[in-house]
Amino acid sequence: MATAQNLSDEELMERYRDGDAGAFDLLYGRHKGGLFRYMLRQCSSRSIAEELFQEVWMNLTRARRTYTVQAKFTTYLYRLAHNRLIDHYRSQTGGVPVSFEDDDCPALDSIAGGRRDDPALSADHRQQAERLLQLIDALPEAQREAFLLQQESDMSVEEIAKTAGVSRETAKSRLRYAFAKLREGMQEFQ
Amino acid sequence: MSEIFRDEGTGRDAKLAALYRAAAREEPPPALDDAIRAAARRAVASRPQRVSKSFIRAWRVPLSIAAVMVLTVSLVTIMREEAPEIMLPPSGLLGEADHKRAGPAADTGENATAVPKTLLPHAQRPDSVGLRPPAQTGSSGIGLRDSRVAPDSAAESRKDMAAAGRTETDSPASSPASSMPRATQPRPDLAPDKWLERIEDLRRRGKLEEARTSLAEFRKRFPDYELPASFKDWAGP
Repeated sequence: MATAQNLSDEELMERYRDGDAGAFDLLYGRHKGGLFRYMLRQCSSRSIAEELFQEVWMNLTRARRTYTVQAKFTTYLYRLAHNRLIDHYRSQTGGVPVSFEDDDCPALDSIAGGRRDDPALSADHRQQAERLLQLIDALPEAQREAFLLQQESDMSVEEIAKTAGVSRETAKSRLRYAFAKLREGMQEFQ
Repeated sequence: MSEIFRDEGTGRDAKLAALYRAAAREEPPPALDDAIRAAARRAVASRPQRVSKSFIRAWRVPLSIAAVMVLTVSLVTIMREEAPEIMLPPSGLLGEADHKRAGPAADTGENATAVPKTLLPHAQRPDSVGLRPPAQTGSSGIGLRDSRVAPDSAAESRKDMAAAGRTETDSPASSPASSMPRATQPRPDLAPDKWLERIEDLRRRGKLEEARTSLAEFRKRFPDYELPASFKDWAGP
């Protein structure tokens, strides 16, 4: 498996498509954290995030037979996630855009709770991290998605645009606004 | 936040990004990991290859036969409707056995129901030379030709007949001449001079109407061909 670990995401996905279950384990290990956090911050509850997270991976396993390398694997994976999220939003709101600026987000509580026990973070650092996550949670959904896609999967502006199904300029604008709001919110720590 | 790390294009801030990476460490619960990995393994293990292979093996021959039959029937139907005479061998190529098989049906009229007349070879048609004596060949013979036959099909038919060394009337307009020996009827696929000879022959025999009809067709076919002087006396300009 040492050789397989050097394979790209796309090559691993092709191996999985061809029946290599071990390739999926590697892919999952590489991307489970980023995708999980993407879902966690886009959903109103952790249980929903876990459910959607699982469905995205299941969709991936179902779609493997028709998989061909047309873009980066992360673009493909997060596109599945984006579409699943949109479906979730529609089922929750009946087509009306959802506001994600709910301060009572259970996901945020669990995130903050987990972080308090992290000895790697100093008290000041932990305070900054909590504030940053609150600011991220307060971002409009589209801006938050752009930010998360960049941070969790290291996507370029073009890849974010492709994943979210928007133009490059729109994706760039969302990113710019997201960072501006986060910077503004973090000014107290300067 | 440091301005040094800021990407002016997107506003990306390296320090913010580093802070986020340090803060965001949530992972899916191990039970969920196990469930997803197990499902992925099951999906691969339960690939429907065996099922589909056995299905293909079981149905390969029947499906192939069915496909061939559907194609054959479709092609035959299309050819019947569009170019019925292409399907038939030249009448001259029919063997004696074919004539015998076709004979009783033609005599009893069964071929009218069993096989459309348009599908019959020329030799099997009531007006065909060789199957029936001239006395049995009535003027209705030519009328049996299917009016749906396209001009191209008729031309094909004429070519077939020419290949078989036969002659035949060319259109319903020439039906009055059907009772005369086919050898005297000029054909448009003859060389112009031969055709004119045939026309002249018709005129000499007193078949002036047929000669004029054939000449009109000749003029359509060879509008620039200069007629001999002998024609101008009776054929007009």
